[in-house]
Amino acid sequence: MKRYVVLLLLGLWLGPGAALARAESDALVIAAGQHVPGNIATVAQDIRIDGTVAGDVTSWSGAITIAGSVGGDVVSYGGDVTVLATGRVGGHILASAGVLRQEAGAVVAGQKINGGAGEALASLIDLLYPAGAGSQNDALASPLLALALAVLLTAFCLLYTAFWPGRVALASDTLRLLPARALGLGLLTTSALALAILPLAGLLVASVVGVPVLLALLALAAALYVYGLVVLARTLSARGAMPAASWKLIAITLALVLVIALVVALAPPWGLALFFLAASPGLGAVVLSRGGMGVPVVAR
Amino acid sequence: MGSRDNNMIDDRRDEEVLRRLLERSGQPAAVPPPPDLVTRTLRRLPPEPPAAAARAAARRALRRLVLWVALASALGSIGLLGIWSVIGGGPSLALMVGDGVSGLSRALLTLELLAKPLLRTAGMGGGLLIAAGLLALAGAGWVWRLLLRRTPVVYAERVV
Repeated sequence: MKRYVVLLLLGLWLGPGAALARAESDALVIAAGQHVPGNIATVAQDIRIDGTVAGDVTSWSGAITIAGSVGGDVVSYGGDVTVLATGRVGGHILASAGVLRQEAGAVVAGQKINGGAGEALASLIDLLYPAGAGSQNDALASPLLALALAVLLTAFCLLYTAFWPGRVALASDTLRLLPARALGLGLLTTSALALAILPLAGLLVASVVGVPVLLALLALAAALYVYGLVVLARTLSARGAMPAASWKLIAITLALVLVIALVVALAPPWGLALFFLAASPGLGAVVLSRGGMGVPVVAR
Repeated sequence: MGSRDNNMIDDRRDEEVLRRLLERSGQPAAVPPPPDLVTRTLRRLPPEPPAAAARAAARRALRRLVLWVALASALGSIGLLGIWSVIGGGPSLALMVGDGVSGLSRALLTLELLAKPLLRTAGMGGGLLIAAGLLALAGAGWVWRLLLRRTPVVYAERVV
Protein backbone atom coordinates (compact mmCIF):
# COMPACT_ATOMS: atom_id res chain seq x y z
CA MET A 1 0.00 0.00 0.00
CA LYS A 2 2.94 2.33 0.71
CA ARG A 3 4.04 2.55 -2.91
CA TYR A 4 0.54 3.71 -3.87
CA VAL A 5 0.77 6.47 -1.29
CA VAL A 6 4.11 7.51 -2.85
CA LEU A 7 2.47 7.49 -6.31
CA LEU A 8 -0.37 9.60 -4.93
CA LEU A 9 2.06 12.14 -3.49
CA LEU A 10 3.96 12.25 -6.79
CA GLY A 11 0.74 13.03 -8.66
CA LEU A 12 -0.08 15.66 -6.06
CA TRP A 13 3.30 17.25 -6.64
CA LEU A 14 3.14 17.29 -10.43
CA GLY A 15 -0.46 18.47 -10.92
CA PRO A 16 -0.73 21.91 -9.33
CA GLY A 17 3.02 22.51 -9.71
CA ALA A 18 2.60 22.96 -13.43
CA ALA A 19 -0.30 25.35 -12.91
CA LEU A 20 1.57 27.43 -10.34
CA ALA A 21 4.61 27.58 -12.60
CA ARG A 22 2.39 29.13 -15.27
CA ALA A 23 0.93 31.59 -12.78
CA GLU A 24 4.36 32.96 -11.99
CA SER A 25 5.43 33.43 -15.61
CA ASP A 26 5.65 36.80 -17.38
CA ALA A 27 3.00 38.38 -19.57
CA LEU A 28 2.46 37.06 -23.08
CA VAL A 29 3.28 39.91 -25.49
CA ILE A 30 2.40 40.09 -29.16
CA ALA A 31 4.87 42.70 -30.34
CA ALA A 32 4.06 45.51 -32.79
CA GLY A 33 4.26 44.20 -36.37
CA GLN A 34 3.70 40.61 -35.24
CA HIS A 35 0.62 38.85 -36.70
CA VAL A 36 -1.11 35.85 -35.09
CA PRO A 37 -3.52 34.14 -37.52
CA GLY A 38 -5.39 32.13 -34.85
CA ASN A 39 -6.50 32.60 -31.23
CA ILE A 40 -4.54 33.37 -28.08
CA ALA A 41 -5.42 31.81 -24.71
CA THR A 42 -3.75 31.79 -21.31
CA VAL A 43 -4.79 30.49 -17.89
CA ALA A 44 -3.08 32.69 -15.31
CA GLN A 45 -0.93 34.85 -17.50
CA ASP A 46 -1.41 38.48 -18.52
CA ILE A 47 -1.63 39.29 -22.24
CA ARG A 48 -0.54 42.43 -24.09
CA ILE A 49 -1.37 42.86 -27.76
CA ASP A 50 0.69 45.45 -29.64
CA GLY A 51 0.52 43.61 -32.97
CA THR A 52 -2.43 41.88 -34.67
CA VAL A 53 -4.44 38.83 -33.65
CA ALA A 54 -6.97 37.52 -36.18
CA GLY A 55 -8.97 35.38 -33.71
CA ASP A 56 -10.05 35.61 -30.07
CA VAL A 57 -7.91 36.65 -27.10
CA THR A 58 -8.92 34.90 -23.86
CA SER A 59 -7.51 34.47 -20.37
CA TRP A 60 -8.82 32.86 -17.17
CA SER A 61 -7.40 35.27 -14.63
CA GLY A 62 -4.82 37.29 -16.52
CA ALA A 63 -5.24 40.96 -17.42
CA ILE A 64 -5.55 41.74 -21.12
CA THR A 65 -4.24 44.98 -22.64
CA ILE A 66 -4.98 45.78 -26.27
CA ALA A 67 -2.87 48.40 -27.99
CA GLY A 68 -2.93 46.71 -31.39
CA SER A 69 -5.72 44.94 -33.24
CA VAL A 70 -7.88 41.92 -32.36
CA GLY A 71 -10.22 40.45 -35.00
CA GLY A 72 -12.32 38.32 -32.65
CA ASP A 73 -13.63 38.57 -29.08
CA VAL A 74 -11.68 39.48 -25.94
CA VAL A 75 -12.61 37.60 -22.74
CA SER A 76 -11.06 37.44 -19.28
CA TYR A 77 -12.84 35.71 -16.39
CA GLY A 78 -10.87 37.26 -13.56
CA GLY A 79 -8.53 39.87 -15.01
CA ASP A 80 -9.00 43.46 -16.20
CA VAL A 81 -9.44 44.24 -19.89
CA THR A 82 -7.98 47.52 -21.14
CA VAL A 83 -8.29 48.83 -24.68
CA LEU A 84 -5.77 51.62 -25.22
CA ALA A 85 -6.33 54.56 -27.57
CA THR A 86 -4.64 52.74 -30.44
CA GLY A 87 -6.51 49.48 -29.78
CA ARG A 88 -9.05 47.93 -32.18
CA VAL A 89 -11.36 45.04 -31.27
CA GLY A 90 -13.51 43.51 -34.02
CA GLY A 91 -15.70 41.42 -31.70
CA HIS A 92 -17.15 41.69 -28.21
CA ILE A 93 -15.41 42.17 -24.84
CA LEU A 94 -16.26 40.37 -21.59
CA ALA A 95 -14.52 41.13 -18.30
CA SER A 96 -16.36 38.94 -15.80
CA ALA A 97 -14.83 40.05 -12.52
CA GLY A 98 -12.17 42.53 -13.58
CA VAL A 99 -12.48 46.14 -14.71
CA LEU A 100 -13.16 47.01 -18.35
CA ARG A 101 -11.45 50.22 -19.52
CA GLN A 102 -11.67 51.83 -22.92
CA GLU A 103 -9.51 54.86 -23.64
CA ALA A 104 -10.71 57.66 -25.91
CA GLY A 105 -10.01 56.77 -29.52
CA ALA A 106 -10.16 53.01 -28.95
CA VAL A 107 -12.58 51.13 -31.24
CA VAL A 108 -14.71 48.22 -30.09
CA ALA A 109 -17.09 46.93 -32.79
CA GLY A 110 -19.15 44.62 -30.55
CA GLN A 111 -20.69 44.78 -27.10
CA LYS A 112 -18.81 45.43 -23.86
CA ILE A 113 -19.93 43.28 -20.93
CA ASN A 114 -18.63 43.79 -17.42
CA GLY A 115 -19.61 41.41 -14.60
CA GLY A 116 -22.60 39.33 -15.60
CA ALA A 117 -23.24 35.63 -15.16
CA GLY A 118 -19.60 34.66 -14.89
CA GLU A 119 -18.83 36.69 -11.76
CA ALA A 120 -19.04 33.74 -9.36
CA LEU A 121 -16.85 31.62 -11.63
CA ALA A 122 -14.39 34.49 -12.00
CA SER A 123 -14.20 34.94 -8.21
CA LEU A 124 -13.46 31.24 -7.78
CA ILE A 125 -10.74 31.38 -10.44
CA ASP A 126 -9.29 34.48 -8.80
CA LEU A 127 -9.18 32.57 -5.52
CA LEU A 128 -7.30 29.69 -7.13
CA TYR A 129 -5.01 31.87 -9.27
CA PRO A 130 -4.91 35.33 -7.65
CA ALA A 131 -4.27 38.10 -10.14
CA GLY A 132 -2.18 40.97 -8.82
CA ALA A 133 -1.44 42.01 -5.23
CA GLY A 134 -3.91 40.68 -2.67
CA SER A 135 -5.82 42.89 -0.25
CA GLN A 136 -6.85 41.95 3.30
CA ASN A 137 -10.11 40.56 1.92
CA ASP A 138 -8.17 38.34 -0.48
CA ALA A 139 -6.09 37.03 2.44
CA LEU A 140 -9.30 36.01 4.21
CA ALA A 141 -10.79 34.37 1.14
CA SER A 142 -8.71 31.16 1.24
CA PRO A 143 -9.40 30.38 4.94
CA LEU A 144 -13.09 31.10 4.37
CA LEU A 145 -13.13 28.78 1.36
CA ALA A 146 -11.36 26.14 3.46
CA LEU A 147 -13.87 26.54 6.28
CA ALA A 148 -16.84 26.28 3.92
CA LEU A 149 -15.30 23.24 2.23
CA ALA A 150 -14.60 21.59 5.60
CA VAL A 151 -18.17 22.12 6.82
CA LEU A 152 -19.72 20.87 3.55
CA LEU A 153 -17.38 17.88 3.27
CA THR A 154 -18.00 16.84 6.87
CA ALA A 155 -21.77 17.18 6.48
CA PHE A 156 -21.92 15.19 3.23
CA CYS A 157 -19.49 12.52 4.52
CA LEU A 158 -21.65 11.99 7.61
CA LEU A 159 -24.79 11.88 5.46
CA TYR A 160 -23.29 9.14 3.31
CA THR A 161 -22.29 7.19 6.42
CA ALA A 162 -25.74 7.61 7.97
CA PHE A 163 -27.89 6.86 4.92
CA TRP A 164 -25.78 4.36 2.97
CA PRO A 165 -23.77 2.43 5.57
CA GLY A 166 -24.15 -0.86 3.69
CA ARG A 167 -23.00 0.54 0.37
CA VAL A 168 -20.06 2.35 1.97
CA ALA A 169 -19.08 -0.90 3.72
CA LEU A 170 -19.19 -2.92 0.47
CA ALA A 171 -17.13 -0.32 -1.41
CA SER A 172 -14.70 -0.24 1.51
CA ASP A 173 -14.40 -4.07 1.37
CA THR A 174 -13.61 -3.72 -2.34
CA LEU A 175 -10.88 -1.17 -1.62
CA ARG A 176 -9.39 -3.49 1.00
CA LEU A 177 -9.54 -6.50 -1.35
CA LEU A 178 -8.27 -4.79 -4.52
CA PRO A 179 -6.32 -1.67 -3.48
CA ALA A 180 -4.14 -1.49 -6.62
CA ARG A 181 -7.03 -1.91 -9.02
CA ALA A 182 -9.19 0.59 -7.11
CA LEU A 183 -6.37 3.14 -7.01
CA GLY A 184 -5.63 2.62 -10.70
CA LEU A 185 -9.26 2.95 -11.71
CA GLY A 186 -9.74 6.00 -9.47
CA LEU A 187 -6.67 7.79 -10.84
CA LEU A 188 -7.68 6.86 -14.39
CA THR A 189 -11.14 8.33 -13.80
CA THR A 190 -9.69 11.51 -12.28
CA SER A 191 -7.20 11.92 -15.13
CA ALA A 192 -9.88 11.35 -17.78
CA LEU A 193 -12.18 13.85 -16.05
CA ALA A 194 -9.36 16.42 -15.81
CA LEU A 195 -8.66 15.94 -19.51
CA ALA A 196 -12.28 16.12 -20.63
CA ILE A 197 -13.71 18.73 -18.27
CA LEU A 198 -12.49 21.84 -20.13
CA PRO A 199 -13.70 21.04 -23.65
CA LEU A 200 -16.86 19.40 -22.31
CA ALA A 201 -17.73 22.40 -20.13
CA GLY A 202 -16.95 24.74 -23.04
CA LEU A 203 -19.17 22.81 -25.44
CA LEU A 204 -22.03 22.61 -22.94
CA VAL A 205 -21.86 26.34 -22.11
CA ALA A 206 -21.58 27.23 -25.82
CA SER A 207 -24.62 25.11 -26.59
CA VAL A 208 -26.66 27.25 -24.12
CA VAL A 209 -29.15 24.42 -23.54
CA GLY A 210 -26.34 22.34 -22.03
CA VAL A 211 -25.76 24.67 -19.05
CA PRO A 212 -28.17 22.77 -16.73
CA VAL A 213 -26.60 19.49 -17.89
CA LEU A 214 -23.16 20.86 -17.00
CA LEU A 215 -24.35 21.92 -13.53
CA ALA A 216 -25.90 18.48 -12.95
CA LEU A 217 -22.72 16.73 -14.12
CA LEU A 218 -20.54 18.85 -11.81
CA ALA A 219 -22.82 18.10 -8.86
CA LEU A 220 -22.73 14.38 -9.69
CA ALA A 221 -18.94 14.37 -9.96
CA ALA A 222 -18.61 16.18 -6.60
CA ALA A 223 -21.01 13.70 -4.97
CA LEU A 224 -18.99 10.75 -6.32
CA TYR A 225 -15.71 12.16 -5.00
CA VAL A 226 -17.21 12.74 -1.54
CA TYR A 227 -18.43 9.12 -1.67
CA GLY A 228 -14.86 8.10 -2.51
CA LEU A 229 -13.51 10.05 0.47
CA VAL A 230 -15.99 8.36 2.83
CA VAL A 231 -14.98 4.94 1.48
CA LEU A 232 -11.30 5.78 2.05
CA ALA A 233 -12.07 6.93 5.61
CA ARG A 234 -13.94 3.71 6.35
CA THR A 235 -11.13 1.58 4.93
CA LEU A 236 -8.55 3.41 7.01
CA SER A 237 -10.65 3.12 10.15
CA ALA A 238 -11.34 -0.62 9.77
CA ARG A 239 -8.87 -3.17 11.03
CA GLY A 240 -8.65 -5.98 8.45
CA ALA A 241 -12.10 -7.39 7.77
CA MET A 242 -13.41 -6.15 11.13
CA PRO A 243 -15.95 -3.34 10.84
CA ALA A 244 -14.86 0.00 12.24
CA ALA A 245 -16.34 1.53 15.34
CA SER A 246 -18.48 4.51 14.38
CA TRP A 247 -16.47 6.96 16.55
CA LYS A 248 -13.27 5.83 14.81
CA LEU A 249 -14.84 6.27 11.36
CA ILE A 250 -16.02 9.77 12.29
CA ALA A 251 -12.62 10.66 13.73
CA ILE A 252 -10.76 9.54 10.60
CA THR A 253 -13.27 11.32 8.33
CA LEU A 254 -12.77 14.52 10.33
CA ALA A 255 -8.98 14.11 10.20
CA LEU A 256 -9.05 13.69 6.40
CA VAL A 257 -11.35 16.69 5.97
CA LEU A 258 -9.16 18.77 8.30
CA VAL A 259 -5.99 17.98 6.35
CA ILE A 260 -7.69 18.88 3.05
CA ALA A 261 -9.12 22.11 4.51
CA LEU A 262 -5.73 23.07 5.92
CA VAL A 263 -4.04 22.65 2.54
CA VAL A 264 -6.91 24.57 0.85
CA ALA A 265 -6.37 27.44 3.32
CA LEU A 266 -2.64 27.55 2.53
CA ALA A 267 -2.78 26.93 -1.23
CA PRO A 268 -6.25 26.43 -2.76
CA PRO A 269 -5.15 24.63 -5.97
CA TRP A 270 -3.08 22.14 -3.97
CA GLY A 271 -5.94 21.59 -1.54
CA LEU A 272 -8.41 20.82 -4.31
CA ALA A 273 -5.87 18.53 -5.98
CA LEU A 274 -5.39 16.75 -2.63
CA PHE A 275 -9.15 16.28 -2.28
CA PHE A 276 -9.56 14.78 -5.75
CA LEU A 277 -6.47 12.58 -5.44
CA ALA A 278 -7.29 11.40 -1.91
CA ALA A 279 -10.82 10.50 -2.97
CA SER A 280 -9.61 8.67 -6.11
CA PRO A 281 -8.91 5.23 -4.53
CA GLY A 282 -12.31 5.32 -2.85
CA LEU A 283 -13.93 6.39 -6.11
CA GLY A 284 -12.22 3.48 -7.88
CA ALA A 285 -13.60 1.11 -5.25
CA VAL A 286 -17.07 2.61 -5.67
CA VAL A 287 -16.89 1.98 -9.42
CA LEU A 288 -15.51 -1.54 -8.98
CA SER A 289 -18.24 -2.41 -6.48
CA ARG A 290 -20.85 -1.00 -8.90
CA GLY A 291 -21.80 1.87 -6.63
CA GLY A 292 -21.37 -0.17 -3.45
CA MET A 293 -23.94 -2.78 -4.48
CA GLY A 294 -21.64 -5.77 -4.81
CA VAL A 295 -18.32 -7.33 -3.85
CA PRO A 296 -15.67 -8.54 -6.30
CA VAL A 297 -15.73 -12.28 -6.86
CA VAL A 298 -12.05 -12.94 -7.52
CA ALA A 299 -8.96 -10.83 -7.99
CA ARG A 300 -7.56 -11.95 -11.36
CA MET B 1 -66.69 -44.56 -14.46
CA GLY B 2 -68.18 -41.31 -13.35
CA SER B 3 -69.30 -38.35 -15.30
CA ARG B 4 -68.47 -34.71 -14.74
CA ASP B 5 -72.17 -34.11 -14.19
CA ASN B 6 -72.06 -36.32 -11.09
CA ASN B 7 -70.31 -33.52 -9.18
CA MET B 8 -72.60 -30.67 -10.14
CA ILE B 9 -72.39 -27.68 -7.81
CA ASP B 10 -75.61 -26.08 -6.70
CA ASP B 11 -74.54 -22.44 -6.39
CA ARG B 12 -77.72 -21.28 -4.72
CA ARG B 13 -77.60 -23.98 -2.06
CA ASP B 14 -73.90 -23.41 -1.44
CA GLU B 15 -74.45 -19.71 -0.99
CA GLU B 16 -77.19 -20.33 1.54
CA VAL B 17 -74.90 -22.67 3.46
CA LEU B 18 -72.15 -20.08 3.38
CA ARG B 19 -74.50 -17.36 4.62
CA ARG B 20 -75.69 -19.56 7.46
CA LEU B 21 -72.12 -20.26 8.48
CA LEU B 22 -71.24 -16.58 8.32
CA GLU B 23 -74.28 -15.62 10.38
CA ARG B 24 -73.34 -18.20 12.98
CA SER B 25 -69.88 -16.66 13.32
CA GLY B 26 -71.36 -13.18 13.70
CA GLN B 27 -70.62 -11.88 10.28
CA PRO B 28 -72.49 -8.73 9.19
CA ALA B 29 -75.60 -9.25 7.19
CA ALA B 30 -75.41 -8.57 3.47
CA VAL B 31 -76.43 -5.05 2.56
CA PRO B 32 -78.83 -4.78 -0.37
CA PRO B 33 -77.27 -2.99 -3.32
CA PRO B 34 -78.30 0.61 -3.94
CA PRO B 35 -81.26 0.89 -6.29
CA ASP B 36 -79.36 2.99 -8.92
CA LEU B 37 -76.24 0.78 -9.00
CA VAL B 38 -76.56 -0.03 -12.71
CA THR B 39 -77.25 3.59 -13.68
CA ARG B 40 -74.28 4.81 -11.65
CA THR B 41 -71.97 2.21 -13.13
CA LEU B 42 -73.09 3.01 -16.67
CA ARG B 43 -72.62 6.72 -15.99
CA ARG B 44 -69.01 6.08 -14.99
CA LEU B 45 -68.17 4.15 -18.13
CA PRO B 46 -66.53 6.19 -20.95
CA PRO B 47 -69.11 7.24 -23.55
CA GLU B 48 -67.09 6.10 -26.55
CA PRO B 49 -66.73 2.43 -27.54
CA PRO B 50 -63.38 0.65 -26.87
CA ALA B 51 -62.28 0.71 -30.55
CA ALA B 52 -62.77 4.48 -30.80
CA ALA B 53 -61.01 4.94 -27.43
CA ALA B 54 -58.02 2.90 -28.69
CA ARG B 55 -57.85 5.03 -31.86
CA ALA B 56 -57.93 8.23 -29.77
CA ALA B 57 -55.19 6.89 -27.46
CA ALA B 58 -53.00 6.06 -30.50
CA ARG B 59 -53.55 9.58 -31.86
CA ARG B 60 -52.58 11.07 -28.48
CA ALA B 61 -49.41 8.90 -28.34
CA LEU B 62 -48.44 10.04 -31.85
CA ARG B 63 -49.03 13.69 -30.92
CA ARG B 64 -46.83 13.22 -27.83
CA LEU B 65 -44.08 11.60 -29.92
CA VAL B 66 -44.19 14.41 -32.49
CA LEU B 67 -44.04 16.97 -29.67
CA TRP B 68 -41.03 15.27 -28.06
CA VAL B 69 -39.21 14.95 -31.40
CA ALA B 70 -39.92 18.62 -32.18
CA LEU B 71 -38.70 19.70 -28.73
CA ALA B 72 -35.54 17.56 -28.97
CA SER B 73 -34.86 18.86 -32.49
CA ALA B 74 -35.34 22.47 -31.38
CA LEU B 75 -33.02 22.04 -28.37
CA GLY B 76 -30.49 20.14 -30.49
CA SER B 77 -30.56 22.84 -33.17
CA ILE B 78 -30.03 25.57 -30.57
CA GLY B 79 -27.17 23.59 -29.04
CA LEU B 80 -25.46 22.91 -32.38
CA LEU B 81 -25.93 26.51 -33.50
CA GLY B 82 -24.40 27.77 -30.23
CA ILE B 83 -21.40 25.43 -30.56
CA TRP B 84 -20.98 26.35 -34.22
CA SER B 85 -21.05 30.06 -33.45
CA VAL B 86 -18.30 29.66 -30.82
CA ILE B 87 -16.09 27.07 -32.50
CA GLY B 88 -16.83 27.29 -36.18
CA GLY B 89 -17.25 31.05 -36.48
CA GLY B 90 -20.86 30.71 -37.59
CA PRO B 91 -23.55 33.34 -37.03
CA SER B 92 -23.92 34.29 -33.36
CA LEU B 93 -26.98 32.77 -31.72
CA ALA B 94 -27.26 35.85 -29.48
CA LEU B 95 -27.34 38.23 -32.43
CA MET B 96 -30.11 36.17 -34.07
CA VAL B 97 -32.52 37.08 -31.27
CA GLY B 98 -31.44 40.71 -30.77
CA ASP B 99 -28.51 43.08 -30.80
CA GLY B 100 -26.79 41.80 -27.65
CA VAL B 101 -27.54 44.98 -25.71
CA SER B 102 -30.22 43.66 -23.37
CA GLY B 103 -32.56 40.83 -22.47
CA LEU B 104 -32.24 37.31 -23.85
CA SER B 105 -29.78 38.39 -26.50
CA ARG B 106 -27.43 39.84 -23.86
CA ALA B 107 -27.68 36.68 -21.73
CA LEU B 108 -26.92 34.45 -24.73
CA LEU B 109 -23.99 36.67 -25.73
CA THR B 110 -22.58 36.45 -22.19
CA LEU B 111 -22.85 32.64 -22.31
CA GLU B 112 -21.17 32.52 -25.72
CA LEU B 113 -18.31 34.68 -24.46
CA LEU B 114 -18.04 32.67 -21.21
CA ALA B 115 -17.57 29.48 -23.25
CA LYS B 116 -14.68 30.96 -25.24
CA PRO B 117 -11.83 30.71 -22.69
CA LEU B 118 -12.86 27.12 -21.87
CA LEU B 119 -12.71 26.04 -25.50
CA ARG B 120 -9.76 28.22 -26.52
CA THR B 121 -7.70 26.91 -23.58
CA ALA B 122 -8.60 23.34 -24.51
CA GLY B 123 -7.57 24.02 -28.10
CA MET B 124 -4.41 25.96 -27.15
CA GLY B 125 -2.07 23.13 -28.16
CA GLY B 126 -3.45 22.90 -31.68
CA GLY B 127 -5.03 20.04 -33.61
CA LEU B 128 -2.30 17.52 -32.84
CA LEU B 129 -2.68 17.92 -29.07
CA ILE B 130 -6.47 17.77 -29.33
CA ALA B 131 -6.17 14.54 -31.31
CA ALA B 132 -3.72 13.19 -28.72
CA GLY B 133 -6.12 14.17 -25.94
CA LEU B 134 -9.01 12.41 -27.68
CA LEU B 135 -6.84 9.35 -28.20
CA ALA B 136 -5.83 9.39 -24.52
CA LEU B 137 -9.50 9.66 -23.52
CA ALA B 138 -10.43 6.74 -25.77
CA GLY B 139 -7.55 4.72 -24.29
CA ALA B 140 -8.61 5.60 -20.76
CA GLY B 141 -12.16 4.55 -21.58
CA TRP B 142 -10.92 1.23 -22.97
CA VAL B 143 -8.77 0.49 -19.88
CA TRP B 144 -11.66 1.57 -17.62
CA ARG B 145 -14.01 -0.90 -19.33
CA LEU B 146 -11.36 -3.63 -19.24
CA LEU B 147 -10.80 -3.19 -15.50
CA LEU B 148 -14.53 -3.34 -14.86
CA ARG B 149 -14.99 -6.45 -17.02
CA ARG B 150 -12.11 -8.17 -15.25
CA THR B 151 -13.71 -7.48 -11.87
CA PRO B 152 -17.00 -9.38 -11.75
CA VAL B 153 -19.07 -8.76 -8.65
CA VAL B 154 -21.67 -10.59 -6.68
CA TYR B 155 -24.51 -8.25 -5.91
CA ALA B 156 -25.03 -8.26 -2.17
CA GLU B 157 -26.46 -6.29 0.68
CA ARG B 158 -24.41 -5.58 3.76
CA VAL B 159 -26.18 -4.92 7.03
CA VAL B 160 -24.12 -2.64 9.25
